[in-house]
Parts: sequence; C-alpha cells; structure tokens
Amino acid sequence: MNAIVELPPTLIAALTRNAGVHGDRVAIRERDQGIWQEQNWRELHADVLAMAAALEARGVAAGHAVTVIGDNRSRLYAAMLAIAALRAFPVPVFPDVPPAELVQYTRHGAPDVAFAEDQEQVDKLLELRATIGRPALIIYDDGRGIAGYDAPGLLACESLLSEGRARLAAAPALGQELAGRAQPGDIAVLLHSSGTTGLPKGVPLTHANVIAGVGNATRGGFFKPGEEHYAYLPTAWVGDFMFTVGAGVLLHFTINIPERQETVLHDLREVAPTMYLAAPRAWDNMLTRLQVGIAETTAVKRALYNY
Amino acid sequence: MTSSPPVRTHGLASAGAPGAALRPVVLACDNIDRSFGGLRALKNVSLAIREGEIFGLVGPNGSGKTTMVNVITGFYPPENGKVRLFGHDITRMKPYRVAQQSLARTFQNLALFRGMSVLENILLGRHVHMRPSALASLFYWVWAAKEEVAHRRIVEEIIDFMQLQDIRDLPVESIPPGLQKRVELARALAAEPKFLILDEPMAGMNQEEKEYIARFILDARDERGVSILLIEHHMDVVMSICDRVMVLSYGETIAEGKPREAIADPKVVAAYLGRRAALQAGVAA
Repeated sequence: MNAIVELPPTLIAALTRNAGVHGDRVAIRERDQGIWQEQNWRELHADVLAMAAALEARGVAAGHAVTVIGDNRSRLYAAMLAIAALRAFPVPVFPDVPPAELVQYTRHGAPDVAFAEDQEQVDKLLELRATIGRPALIIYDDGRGIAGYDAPGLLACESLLSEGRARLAAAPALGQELAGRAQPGDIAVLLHSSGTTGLPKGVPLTHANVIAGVGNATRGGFFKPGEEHYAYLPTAWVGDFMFTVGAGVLLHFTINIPERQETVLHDLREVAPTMYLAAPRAWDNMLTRLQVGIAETTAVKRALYNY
Repeated sequence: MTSSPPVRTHGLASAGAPGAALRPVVLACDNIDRSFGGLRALKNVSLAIREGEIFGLVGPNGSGKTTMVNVITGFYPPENGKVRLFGHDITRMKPYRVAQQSLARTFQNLALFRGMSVLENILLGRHVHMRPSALASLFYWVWAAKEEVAHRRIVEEIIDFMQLQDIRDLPVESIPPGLQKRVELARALAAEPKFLILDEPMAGMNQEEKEYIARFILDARDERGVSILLIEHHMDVVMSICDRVMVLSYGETIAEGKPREAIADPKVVAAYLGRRAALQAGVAA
C-alpha cells in the first residue's frame, strides 16, 4: 500500500477533519445494556468540544495533567481528547491499580482533576484525596451508587457536558478556537512505564510523536483508513492509546467498545473487527477455542470447516 | 472489574440516620402465632419495618426465621396475628396475590428454572407485570412483541445493575452457585418490588462474593428505593449493612434494635452466637 495518507498536525485537528469529512460515519460503537450505541464523528466532536469548554471554565489550562482512570469507555476517550484540546494532557491509569499505588501515578503534573469510570474508581480517588489532598474535582461516567455521596467536588460527566454546551452556546466562536488550539509539540498523553524495576516512570508522547508513529505504520501497510477497531485493551497502555486514540482518530476508524471486560470474546464476534491487536497468548487461546469448537461440533459443520 | 469494599465509607446518608424513625412503616407483623402440630414455630412475634430500611432477621437454625417469611408471603397463614404491607392487610392472602403487592423474595435453597438461560430466568421475574392475552400472543409480532421489548429493557437494566452481562445467555445450571444466588436476586428485582425479602442470600459464598452481594443490597436500597428484610447468618454482613435487627430463638423474639446492641445482648450470645463469635464480632466484653 503506497497511498500516502496526509495526516493532520494534531489529534484535535484530525477530530475536526473527521467531523467535517466523515461526519455521518460511526466513530464509537459501545455496547450498553445489551444494545450497541453509536456515536458519529460529528457528535463525538461536539461532545469533546463541550467537555473542553466546561473543563476550561473549571480551571483546566495548558500544561495541566488530568488523571483518567477506568476501563474502555467512550466518555473516557472523549475526555482524553477534550483534555488534549486544552493543551493539557491526560494521564490514563490502569483501573486495577490499588489506592496506595495511585500516588505513584498521580505525581507528574500534580493532576487536580480526575475522570473516573464508576463508583469503584471514585472511591479510590476519594481515598487518594484523603492522603495527598488531590484531586479536588472528580468527574464520573457511571453514576451508580454515587448519588448519595456528600463529598465535595464530585461531578457527573453528563453535567460537565451540559455546562460545556451552555458555554459554547453563549460564545459561538469558542468552539472553533478550542478546536484549533492544540499544537504538534504539545504533550498528547502521559503514560507510565510498567514499573517492574522500580517506580513507574512517566512517558510523555506529543501529538507529533503519535502522528509519526501512526503515519509510519500506515505507510508500512499495517493500518488502513476506516478500519473496524476493537478497543478492549487497558487505556493506560501505550498500545491502546496509539491504536484507539491515535490511529482511531487520525485514520477515522470505527472504535468498538465491549460491554465489559468479561464479555470481550462474546462481543468480538458481533464487532467482527478488520484489525485486532492482541498478545501471542491471546491468539493462542483463540485458536484453541476454535479447534475445540470444531472438534465438538456436528459432522456437517466439521466437513465445511475442513473443506 | 475488581472487588469493591462491602461498605461505603464516604458519607452516604443511611436509613439509620436521624429521621428514619419518622418514615412510614411498610411491613408490620403484629403478634404472629404459627404452629406445626405440637411445635410452636412462632410465638407472639411482632415486627415493623420502615421505608428504606434494611432489617436483619437472625437466629439459630430452626428458630422460625423462614417460617416468618412464609407467614408474610402467605405460604403459612398464621393462627393469630396480622400482617400489613403498605397499610393493607395481607394476612391469609394467597402467595400469588401477595406477589402482586410489590413484594418479591429469594429462596434459601435456590429456586431457579433449570434449562433456561440467565436472561430468561430474570425475565420470569417480570411475570407479575405481564398482561398477555391469548389473542395478542397469537399475533405476536403485531401486539405482544412491543410488550416483550419493554420487559426486556427493564431486564437489561437489572442485568447491568447486577453485573451479569457476561453470563446472560448461559444456561442457569451451568454457572457457579454464588452467581446463581445473584441471578435469583436479579429475578426478584426484575419484579420491581418496593419490599424485598432475602432468605440467606450469601449462604455458601466466599468473602468476595459476599462483598458483591452486600454492595448490591445496599445499592438496591439506595438506587431503587427498596425496603429489605434480610435473613443472614454471616454476622459481619449483618453488622455492616443492617439498620436494625431482630433475633429469634425457638420462635420467640429475644432481642431487637441496632445490630451492635442486639447482638451484644447476653441472651443472644447464649442462644445463638456463642462467646467466641461474639468476641470476634467485637461486641462481647
């Protein structure tokens, strides 16, 4: 494949391009309560700008770090882009990090705002706040069980979006200005090393880094524009960021998100991705499952398989 | 998803907070007597459960806890006494009629329908809300399909609430007992009850499974506004999630009140817990 893809200078510029050129294409498909919910690029772009507008009003500025903790959720991906649009940077954290270790993942940039998937993560962040005094503001996606909390600085993602939409409606020029603010040299994300040989180290990637990586992989024929991508690997891992947020936005993939980690294999079949990132062991397991299935099935199906 | 702590720590207003005593009584049992032959299983037992309360019913085996539940749900009509649910007299009402009064229960021994999937079992919990007519079912796609979709939506909310997404299509007998208990609770919630009776929902569970169920019970109360009568032997759970408890022994009430106080009662320690368990629960001197 030698069609050189012209990549925009930043992830946010790519998102804006997607909203204009591929506006009606499905950007994110997420399974919720058994039903695949779709959001196209225009809607995602609008949500990202609304989140950015609200975050800015709540004090997030260029150079700030913002913690993002949880499994793969469309709102958390949108939040990462919104943070990057403000020239701040998201710091995704593995959802299974215990509260005590959270301190290590919230050192760099001293994030004062955090996005959390659900009650479990909110509880951890509140515990963190009791220890180190941060984060002051916790924004949660799934409100289940949180309604009765009286801790200050808790905000539902929906409320954040409404705040942002109201701000954008009051200042019509703001949206366009937000969409063009990020620069190629800005940090797009701060990831952490595994920490196997000591404390986890922070690893920043700029927009330019991400774009160079995705560009090279595309020129090498590994990515094609518009793939069906399956976002199920940990968001705090570089692989998921590069594939889902990097290539996903730059090459306008359709990003499919499973219902839960436990349903990944079940949902995989319905998604039928055109590209799938997995470790050798996962491929091995998949092959075993297939072979066992064929061994146990009816003779007709087996014959068809072996044909 | 990893394990969550069983008890909230972040300033959640519990029903045990001041003001709870002013809430209306949802279930009142007055002076209940019930015998089986010569055995007096319940002797003049009274209890009142208020809205939003998690009420624990504890006691040794054979003390009459399950009999009490069966009296409330109409399986064993009492010889004396009255049962009132939401102010209506339901004494001696037939079980299927009681089930239509916004009351649901789970069973001590699992009572799921084998051969059906988890989803179908939970959908059965919607039974009390289904109004199928023979004609509508005959022309399924014209009339009944719409109703089924509405029920399915509620069931999916429950599946989401109880985190059963990954097993929704599995045959119910193929999943482990701990999860079967969770499915039974889900089926009870699918009836959208205002009052829920849980008969040993954590029997045979490991610590992690218990923590999950405790969390679901608290969430059912807080998010779905259900008042709950809980029979349970795990004292750690009773102490941490119940607002009030009543202790039965040989069909008689021997203590009632806040969990810590009721369980510390010397009669309870003697009849039920034993000294060592009471020490472990941290209530005996």
